[in-house]
Amino acid sequence: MVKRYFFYILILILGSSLMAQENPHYQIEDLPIPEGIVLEVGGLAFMPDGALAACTRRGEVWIIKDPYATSADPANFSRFASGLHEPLGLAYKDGSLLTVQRGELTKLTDKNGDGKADSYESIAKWPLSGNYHDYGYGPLLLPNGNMMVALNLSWIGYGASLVKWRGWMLEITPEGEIMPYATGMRSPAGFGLDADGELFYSDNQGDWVGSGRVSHVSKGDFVGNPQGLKWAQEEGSPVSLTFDMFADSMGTLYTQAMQVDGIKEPTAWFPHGVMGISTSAILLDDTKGKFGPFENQMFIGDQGQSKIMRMQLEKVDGSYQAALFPFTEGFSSGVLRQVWGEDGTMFVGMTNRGWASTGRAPFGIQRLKYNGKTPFEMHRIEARPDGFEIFFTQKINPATVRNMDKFSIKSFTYHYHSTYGSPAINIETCNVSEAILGDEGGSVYLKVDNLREGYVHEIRLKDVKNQLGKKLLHDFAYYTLNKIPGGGTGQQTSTTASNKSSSSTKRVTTMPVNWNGKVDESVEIATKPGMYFNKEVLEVKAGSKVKLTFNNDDDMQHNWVLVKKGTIDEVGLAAIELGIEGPAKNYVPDTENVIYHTKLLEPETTEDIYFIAPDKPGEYPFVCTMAGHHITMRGILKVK
Amino acid sequence: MNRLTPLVLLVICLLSSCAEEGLPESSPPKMAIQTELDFLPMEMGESNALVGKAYLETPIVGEKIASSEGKEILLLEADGNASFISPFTHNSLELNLEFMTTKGAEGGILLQGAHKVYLNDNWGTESPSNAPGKIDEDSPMSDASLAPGLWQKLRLLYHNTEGGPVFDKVELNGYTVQENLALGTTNPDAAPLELLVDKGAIAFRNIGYKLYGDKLPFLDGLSYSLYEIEGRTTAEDSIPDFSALEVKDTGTSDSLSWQVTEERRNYALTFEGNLNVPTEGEYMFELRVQGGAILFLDGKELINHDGETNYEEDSKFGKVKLTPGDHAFKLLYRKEHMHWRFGLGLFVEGPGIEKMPLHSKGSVYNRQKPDPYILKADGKGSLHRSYLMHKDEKLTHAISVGDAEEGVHYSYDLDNASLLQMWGGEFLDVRQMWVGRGAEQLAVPMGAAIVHAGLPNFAVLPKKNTSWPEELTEDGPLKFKGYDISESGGPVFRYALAGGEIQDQLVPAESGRSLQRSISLSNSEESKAYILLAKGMEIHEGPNGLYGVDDFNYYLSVDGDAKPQIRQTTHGQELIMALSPNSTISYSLTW
Repeated sequence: MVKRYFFYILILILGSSLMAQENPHYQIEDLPIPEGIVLEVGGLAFMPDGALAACTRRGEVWIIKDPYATSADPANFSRFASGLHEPLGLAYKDGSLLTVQRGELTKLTDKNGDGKADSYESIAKWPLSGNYHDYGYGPLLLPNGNMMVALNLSWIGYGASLVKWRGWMLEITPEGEIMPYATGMRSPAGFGLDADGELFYSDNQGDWVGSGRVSHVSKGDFVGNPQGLKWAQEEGSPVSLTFDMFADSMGTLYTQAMQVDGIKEPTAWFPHGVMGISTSAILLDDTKGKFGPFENQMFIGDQGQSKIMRMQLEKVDGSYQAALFPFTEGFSSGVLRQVWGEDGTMFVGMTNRGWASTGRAPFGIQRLKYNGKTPFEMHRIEARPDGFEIFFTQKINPATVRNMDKFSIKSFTYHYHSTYGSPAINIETCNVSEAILGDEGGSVYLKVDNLREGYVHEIRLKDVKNQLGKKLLHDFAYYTLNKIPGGGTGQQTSTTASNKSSSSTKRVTTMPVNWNGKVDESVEIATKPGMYFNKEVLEVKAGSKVKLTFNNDDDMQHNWVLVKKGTIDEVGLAAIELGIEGPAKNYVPDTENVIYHTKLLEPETTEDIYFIAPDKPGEYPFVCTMAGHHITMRGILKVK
Repeated sequence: MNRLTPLVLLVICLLSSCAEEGLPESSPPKMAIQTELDFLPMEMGESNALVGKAYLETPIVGEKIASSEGKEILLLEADGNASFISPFTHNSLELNLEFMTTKGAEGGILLQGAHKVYLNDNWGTESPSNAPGKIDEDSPMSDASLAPGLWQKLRLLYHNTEGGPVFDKVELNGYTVQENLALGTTNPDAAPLELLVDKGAIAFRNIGYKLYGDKLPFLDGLSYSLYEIEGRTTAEDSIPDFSALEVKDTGTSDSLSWQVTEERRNYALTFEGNLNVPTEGEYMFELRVQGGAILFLDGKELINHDGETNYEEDSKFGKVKLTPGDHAFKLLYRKEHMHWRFGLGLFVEGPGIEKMPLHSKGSVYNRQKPDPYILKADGKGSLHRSYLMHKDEKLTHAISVGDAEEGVHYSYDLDNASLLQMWGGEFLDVRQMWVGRGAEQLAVPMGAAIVHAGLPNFAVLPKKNTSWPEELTEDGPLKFKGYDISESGGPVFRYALAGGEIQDQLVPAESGRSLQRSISLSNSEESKAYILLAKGMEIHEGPNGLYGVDDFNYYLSVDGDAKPQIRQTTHGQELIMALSPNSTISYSLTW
């Protein structure tokens, strides 16, 4: 028994260290933080002298003199500013730091040279509703000298724009003139420029946002959530759409974008649970190779899954689309910000207060360092009139791409509706008819029969190897295909209702008739912010007829799953493995380890399930298996 | 002892304004008298202890209270009428009063002849150990007192319990300084209440009280009917037409609770039974539900709380005179459609009866107040921006500034260039910001705050009688520019006004609870710029340039020769002063 226990521990240790080295070509290193400094990172910016500035959710700005230090020396940290209202972005310009507090764009300057800001200049101020969800992000420095700022919607059981410019991006001049830029944002925590200076922003799954996504934003665009349109008629607004044009359910965002001027289609969908659960910062690789072979591609952080993904843009007929690739997992807390160090290492700023993350540390800064050895990866995917051409970072072994069953491609999209999130819908398998090697073995051109514009194409490669016999580090990608080059043969499929997940014996939502209208026990459970259930322990009698009510009073989706003892992590990981099928399957994997479960509940909804408590007294774990939530959201059903 | 002259009722107690029907009541049931207070019949005191007005001869430092003829205020002096004994005896009680001390005064309130609540002057000391609110040997949690000569408010709730006497709560100037203090002694016999002064002088006014007895109201013979309802509760209308609905179930209940049924959503209940009250008099009912409810007594509608109401935020009151004995009780109730949101609470308060629930425990939320998460001031001029409650309004662009050395702090509205509040003690409770998501984002002062009007503090007044603006428009005339950190550590707020720039700085005085504010207007030709120094009920101009603002809630004195102007407003008075370009005005606030 003892031995077995040891074995488990060993597995755990191995498991976690493997996780940290998920991408061996990029090493994650801690930036040690002295005791007593709560560095819940909201923004990062490098100073001209190589020092790193970090603003925190507690309103401080710290200067880290040597961001490459390996010990937590308090002398390496000095507090530059304090008392700001949850600043979530930082930039350096002309001797000052610029930051966005909840209600203000602020310029911090140390005029007397004592290392502390003595000027807190209010560049521009905007109204707030008093809601906790009124976050502000930025500023992003624009090539024209102005600054871009993005403002969250409030959360009142749904995302709402309660005061002017919530749900907008604002362009602000150095003199403080506010020029509304675009709207439709829900929770625009990350935005950045691509190599051509074009603006892209990331949003989180929620109402009107079926899954995480990145959109290209031009002035006057509307990108999805209609709440911000309440202010579209205000002076200075470049958006002409109106709020009342939007019904609760509108097909797909892509079809709306094709039909209505001013609506912008997403550039890239991030399938929920697979490519993160809460997209954050966007960082362009302009390291000129110092960070590896992905120059001009973009790295997108994810807070909830403590990881960074890679996005490669394509512009077809003037509009953007992109391929997404997994990149590096295993950061210690929730990834919110990334910036480049001068040596081409990526500095990653983290926090998970209020929203749990796979990495369990409450906050931190880590560096991601390239070891100089080219990883074997898909480098990029280019759309072709009749398929995709996949380019690799290394030449591949032709023998490993000979059979068509090496490639599987599926396409799907998401609902565009006021409901929180969406399952993948209209899933269709694409037939790969031909694979042609190109670029002297550096690429493979897949001819695909039924490409669909407006759809995400999941591309999976099986056992593709390089010439040394090494497998791909990551063997799948998601390509959001908005335009097939040359018009293509693409077909449009109209949206049909989503596959409603069927009820099973593990999820009985009406009282069984033979219970004669009586339950033995009614138990209720709800949530606590930060990804927890409100009760750690539920108790029922063995064999009793139980009515369990799960009240999802949180602001994100959750389920309740009763599992066999010791299988929480296994079931949790299997739920993540469901990939794009996850939402439709309520994130409940098909395994005997699952005893009973509810559906995936939207925020502010509730479900009753009826089940017979296990006959055997003991402790049965329950868990939320919504991608990644199993890390924190768990408890015990005590059967007596 | 001299014979006493009869006395007319005292000035109206502030609290009685809360007794209006329909006002929200956000404080917990305790310490919230809804019915009228009894006032101490002052004719029982020495006749020459009663005065009309009382003020300290020399503000802050005076050792004598000057008075005018009248009968509104009880003035006790160590070398004169040093004690006042109530004509009644008491056990459990709630007591509200206001007091003013001389410099160095000592005295207090003796409950049941056994336990003393000290009201000693504590001005200028750093320690709370002898501050007002000290009970027997137990010091208050902090010094929430004000300077000599200022009117201070004390509220206390005291119970004789099975385990002996307990001070449930003592609030000084709106701040809790004692909570759940069990004295560990046996309950004393009923005895009169005594006010006494051992040193110097203390003036008392508005002494309101309620004595609590053992006889309580109760619900009896309660039966309920359950109805099933389709659809959601709505903001306008949640109580259905019961006559159009079919009764699904009926039963009896020994208590009032939404939990009498297994149903959890989409239902409504009617309750009928008797309410028995022990004493004749005026009763105040408070109804708070998650959903909607209507209360009938003796067949008459007393409280209509229809619509989708929130247990935590909405409350409705109804006042009625009742005779002893049974009264027909009927309550219509619709639970909110959101299944897990619940709360059906009915409270009653009456003659000799403390506010108490008529519902069972499980029928309402019972949230425990979490401990504060204290942000200490760090050096001079600790900054903290946050949302902030000011009166009943949530301000979103507020900053609080703390001073660790002097222990004097203030909050400022950056939108309005407005000093909001000032307090001594610890700096802030930031639990609602820094724990979890920080759902409220509120910072809360850790001390008894003097709260200001919250109006823009600077304005251009085209005419002498132009009334002071209530708020700013989006584009001015004041525009926030930011703040600089001064050499000494605190912020200097900057605003654009009238083509120039205002600089506004508040610095704690080196001793005592006092802030000095300096304002300048530079680079402007504007000759009609003004500063609002203060606004309050009454502003008394004192002998040595010290104004007692808001009926001696705090002192204000202007440095130099400049003379402010007192103006009447529709609600009280205001003190304004011209802000000449390129000169500096400074004044002090002391409390």
